Amino acid sequence: MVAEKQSKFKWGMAVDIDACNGCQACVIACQSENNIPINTEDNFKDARGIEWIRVERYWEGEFPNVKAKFIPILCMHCDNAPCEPVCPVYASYHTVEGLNVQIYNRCVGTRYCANGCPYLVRFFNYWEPEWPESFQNHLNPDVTVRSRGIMEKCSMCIQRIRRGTRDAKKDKREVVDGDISPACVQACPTDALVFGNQKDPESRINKMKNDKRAYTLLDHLKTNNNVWYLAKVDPDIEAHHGDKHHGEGNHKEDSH
Amino acid sequence: MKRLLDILYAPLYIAAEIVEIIKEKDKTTPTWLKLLAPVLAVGGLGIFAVLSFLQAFVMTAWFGNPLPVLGFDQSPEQPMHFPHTIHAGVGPLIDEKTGQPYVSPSGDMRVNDDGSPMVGLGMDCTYCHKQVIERPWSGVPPVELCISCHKVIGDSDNEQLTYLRQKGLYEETKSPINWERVHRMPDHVRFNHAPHIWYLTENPDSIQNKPVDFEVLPDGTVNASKVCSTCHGNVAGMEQVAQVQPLKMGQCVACHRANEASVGCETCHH
Repeated sequence: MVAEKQSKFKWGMAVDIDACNGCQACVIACQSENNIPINTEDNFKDARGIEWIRVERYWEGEFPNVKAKFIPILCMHCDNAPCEPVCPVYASYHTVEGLNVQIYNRCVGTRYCANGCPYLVRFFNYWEPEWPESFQNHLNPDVTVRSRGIMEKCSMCIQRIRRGTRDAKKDKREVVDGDISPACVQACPTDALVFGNQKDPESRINKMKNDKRAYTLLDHLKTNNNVWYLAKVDPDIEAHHGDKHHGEGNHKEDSH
Repeated sequence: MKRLLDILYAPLYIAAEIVEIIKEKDKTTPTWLKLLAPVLAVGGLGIFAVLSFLQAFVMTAWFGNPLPVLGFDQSPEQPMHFPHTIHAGVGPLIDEKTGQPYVSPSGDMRVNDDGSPMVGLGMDCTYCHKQVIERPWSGVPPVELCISCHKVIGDSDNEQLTYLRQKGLYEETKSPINWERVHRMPDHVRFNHAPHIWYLTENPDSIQNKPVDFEVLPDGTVNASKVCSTCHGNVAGMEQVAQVQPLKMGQCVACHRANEASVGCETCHH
């Protein structure tokens, strides 16, 4: 916490669920930006698919009057992360800029962190990643290709953050809001995902996290997430309850 | 592996068995068996000591200086001799260590017909390694860049230049040269040349192993080609390029600390 005060950045993300239409563009963008191995149907059947960001879908109501709700789930980059103290080799690392990143060369594959994570956003490489021959030159050179036996997770595109801060330093200017965007944010067609610096009072993320619709997932666990969700605005419910907004509780009920 | 160790430590196991036998029937044990036990035990421990020593040697060699162990080659053979001495060297081409003119890998001395040492062209590193200022990698120039000069420059009977012209000049035999890579970072390290060059050109005090023609420009900066020697050594004096610095993590972190750069793990490992 002392170190965090020294940095002028504290990265965070806000997800406007009302704007998300479940198109999965963020999933594809993340997959190609971060050299994530191609998941097969069997991988998902074994619950071993790797998706640093996934779009969870919830149905509400009975057919034909059903409503679909989508929640993109990525690493929450918790300030009080359950995955960090359990790592015996300090591979789960908290940066001074408030990110929770995995140091791949330290990881020995104990999988304690994935067991500790309540959001299921840490993924273990059960196999050596393989790409078709035509994909070999499409891999991102800025991201390590993770080999078999180590844990991997969302890094909020740390390579893009570093590139953005580096370019600003080269041009001798401050990083402005919107300079840096992770792959998922860049790909989102409805701007449902917003990335920014929480220490910048003018940033969009700061305004969104202070919105009355804002909530964090599994708030009772007190993991102090850095990813905020803006609750869905349902016109039918709004009509019945006036301007009363509904938050986390409603989503949990809808989920089964 | 475990099987192999079992076989190597067999004398120790046998010695332990004999000790057990001696304990059980102390009085009836023959004297030769009592003497054999310590001999076998010492032999087993000896093998253990030799193995430990070998392992320690390999480990220190690997983690210490870049010795050619485990496939780590400092100065690989290139498909053709590219003398950095002639192109990037400055002044008479004389080796600092020996005081003699440089010798090419094929054994020729870099001397003129009258015996005086050749004079280096003093070309800027970034003439060929153009991308290094803007990109993460320094890159090797295409053969066309070599040919842009060597179409006319150089002897027509030179073996190396004939090879070069075959590769770059004639349509029938045109193909890239498969240069062997000398400096290679491990797969889990992201190194970016450009920001290091920006920083060092603006902060000349941080440059180490300064080249002979080092000069600070009036505005306090230096040319990009004057900073390379910090990590790559005196490449201008190499007939065949070799890695002279270990380029291990300790070196990176020490320099980052000294220059107040970020030292978090995520700086390089992501």
